[in-house]
Amino acid sequence: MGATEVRAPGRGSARSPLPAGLGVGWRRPVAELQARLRPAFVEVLAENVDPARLEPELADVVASPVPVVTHGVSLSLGSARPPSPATLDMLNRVARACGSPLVSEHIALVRAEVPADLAGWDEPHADVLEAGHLLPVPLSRDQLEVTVDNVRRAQAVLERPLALEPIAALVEWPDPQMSEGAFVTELLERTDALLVLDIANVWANAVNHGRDPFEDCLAMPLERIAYCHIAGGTWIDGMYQDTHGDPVVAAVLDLARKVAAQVGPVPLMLERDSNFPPEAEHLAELDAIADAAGLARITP
Amino acid sequence: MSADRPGGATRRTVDDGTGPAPAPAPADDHPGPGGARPGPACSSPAPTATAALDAARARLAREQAAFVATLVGGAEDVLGLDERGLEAARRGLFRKRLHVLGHHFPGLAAGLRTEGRRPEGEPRPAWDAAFAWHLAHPPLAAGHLADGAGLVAFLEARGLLPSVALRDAMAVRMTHRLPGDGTAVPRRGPFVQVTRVLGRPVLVWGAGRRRGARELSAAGARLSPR
Repeated sequence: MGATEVRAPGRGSARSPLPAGLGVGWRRPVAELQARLRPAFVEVLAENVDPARLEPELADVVASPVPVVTHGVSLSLGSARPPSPATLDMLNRVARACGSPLVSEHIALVRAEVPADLAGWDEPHADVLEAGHLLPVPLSRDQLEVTVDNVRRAQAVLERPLALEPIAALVEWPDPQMSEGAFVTELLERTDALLVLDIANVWANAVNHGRDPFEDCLAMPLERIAYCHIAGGTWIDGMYQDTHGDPVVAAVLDLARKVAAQVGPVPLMLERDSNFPPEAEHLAELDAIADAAGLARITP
Repeated sequence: MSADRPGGATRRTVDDGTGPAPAPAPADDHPGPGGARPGPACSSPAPTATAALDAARARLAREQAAFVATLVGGAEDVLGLDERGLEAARRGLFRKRLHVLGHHFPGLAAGLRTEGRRPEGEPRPAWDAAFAWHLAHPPLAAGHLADGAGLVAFLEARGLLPSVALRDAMAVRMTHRLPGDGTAVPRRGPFVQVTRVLGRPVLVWGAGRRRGARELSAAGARLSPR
């Protein structure tokens, strides 16, 4: 697949169970502010939700007509090992409690089993190393075949459609056998999974590794978009880092504008996890994102 | 379920004279040990599991082990990763770990971060030591309390614990014994101890661990008057 292939515009959210519009990533520290917004949809972090006892603000959203997406971070679908039944069960329970039309996860690796005789490492270590964050997978045939199988196994257990998000990676695996766009496209086509397009992740990877952000977006299977993420970041150690704790940079907003022009209105939401700004600043950023993506504002 | 969720009936008090004990830590958005545990494989949706796929899984497992050990374990890079990206990713993962630890040990995380923000070239002994500890002690599946106790013990033994981490270092005494060699040993039975934290005498006590319980049932730490 050529990186510059242009797809038919206006089909961005054709397969999404979510309405086009600005959504909200539900976060406890700003729950009170978020309760005053009029989001098109809400996303919750599955690992932070107790399905037996939803917090009151979240229960209010679930009781409303606004759809709530269940977003997981710990499944590690990119691991060499098949996904854990316990984590899939947790995702099902959260999705049921939230009435989610969709479950999303990442094309990533968050842990690895480490053999005792690992080359180049004599550190005493546990059998399983937890990275504590999402790490990239190699863009290889082996990885693709294994991930296709992992995703199919997950889909067989999950009670909702699954959408997959490519991540931001400061370090990429050497000697890729294909582009990330080609990897994601084949993975999603073979599993019929949907796409969570994180516009900030694509931008971060492109600028950190010397590629064109818009071309990288176009190489993704945009016709499978379930929804989009956007997030802030900052430059540390000479590289752009997708921190979710800084303002959205102008170039990322610009990329959102170009993506919206390409695919039409999509469900889109800001991921802000920490270092929350004053309310006025937060609301202004939400408005700026809505305006860039051609969506209705959701602020009071 | 997240391991960040505070434990059930555990009651603790830290009295350093500066105010109430910190609020329960919020859960974080990271894929921590509380999430998935590698379990047995799910049943395949169709009997398509082939020898080729098994072989691909085996090759991939070794590559991924090397990759993760290099990024979070400080293992030698045998994959030929880009040096600048590797260094940035290692430091990014350390910052992420500090962010998560900060929910339980806010003073420790804040003190280290303050030092870490100093311009390149200025001495950052505590920050550098903590980063070295991070690489030598990959995140534990045991959870954030054990993780933080280990870092506090490591820094204390080297005289590098930030002074704003006083309350955290006192709280660590309620779950762990710090023999002074840079390690933290989980407490078991009931205890009453007078010890020194950042040069100040601290009285610490606890009722011990109930049989089978992961947490101590009740404990406290009090800063003695100078």
